[in-house]
Amino acid sequence: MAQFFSGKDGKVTVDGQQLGRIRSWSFSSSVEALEVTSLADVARDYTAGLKSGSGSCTAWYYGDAPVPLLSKVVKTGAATDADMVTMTLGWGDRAVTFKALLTSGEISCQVGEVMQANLSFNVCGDLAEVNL
Amino acid sequence: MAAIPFPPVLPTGRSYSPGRYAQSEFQSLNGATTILRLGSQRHESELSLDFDNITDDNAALILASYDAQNIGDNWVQFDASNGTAGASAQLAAYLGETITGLRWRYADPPQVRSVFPGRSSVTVKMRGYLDS
Repeated sequence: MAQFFSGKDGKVTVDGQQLGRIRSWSFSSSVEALEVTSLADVARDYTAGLKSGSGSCTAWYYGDAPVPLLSKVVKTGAATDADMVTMTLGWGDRAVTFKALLTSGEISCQVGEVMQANLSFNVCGDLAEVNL
Repeated sequence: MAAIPFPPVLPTGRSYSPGRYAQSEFQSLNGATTILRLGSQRHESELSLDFDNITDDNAALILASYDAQNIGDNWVQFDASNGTAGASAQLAAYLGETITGLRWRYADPPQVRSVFPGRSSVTVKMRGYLDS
């Protein structure tokens, strides 16, 4: 039977430290399409442009689980380059590693539920490591 | 003075104006207008070419064409491999000014905008001169 991955295999590592109580994460990578269609063409043509990546993760507010990320965006004073983190999104023995800038942090609290923090980030520069 | 072929770079956008016929207009006090036609040939036609997301090497070819046209007071010729690409033969005759004898020269220096490593967008504005 082919190997498959599920939610229990997922993990998030920030600056070398694995975060606990992660509920979910997602990652999106895209390549900009630069149009090179000339007036002699009959169909649109493209070449590869800039890559970009972004993602989000949700962490249960269980102990200090989301704090390493949440503290980068929910803070007093201005955000700086020092708030960028090295993030690894892993599943099983696979992972994607990159430098990330936290762009939003949302804390939600609801009766009968454990609090959770929703975090969004953008990838800064190229991916450092990819093992799909 | 000699004709210099425009480099073989296909445009991604193009606009053309056929220019005007030389004439003088006189308006009398009652509002009637008299038009004196001073010539039988058009002059100052305009051709604007866009080269979006072309390679930097092709952008350099266009800049070299600008130098070559100006250094020897030459003029530029277009054909289907460059400025008139995708046009019918009838329209290409106008775009290349092969039916009028107007000579294309650069109206302004080419504008080069770098968009990606190795890729640039160039805008070229030509003016058709009626040489004496």
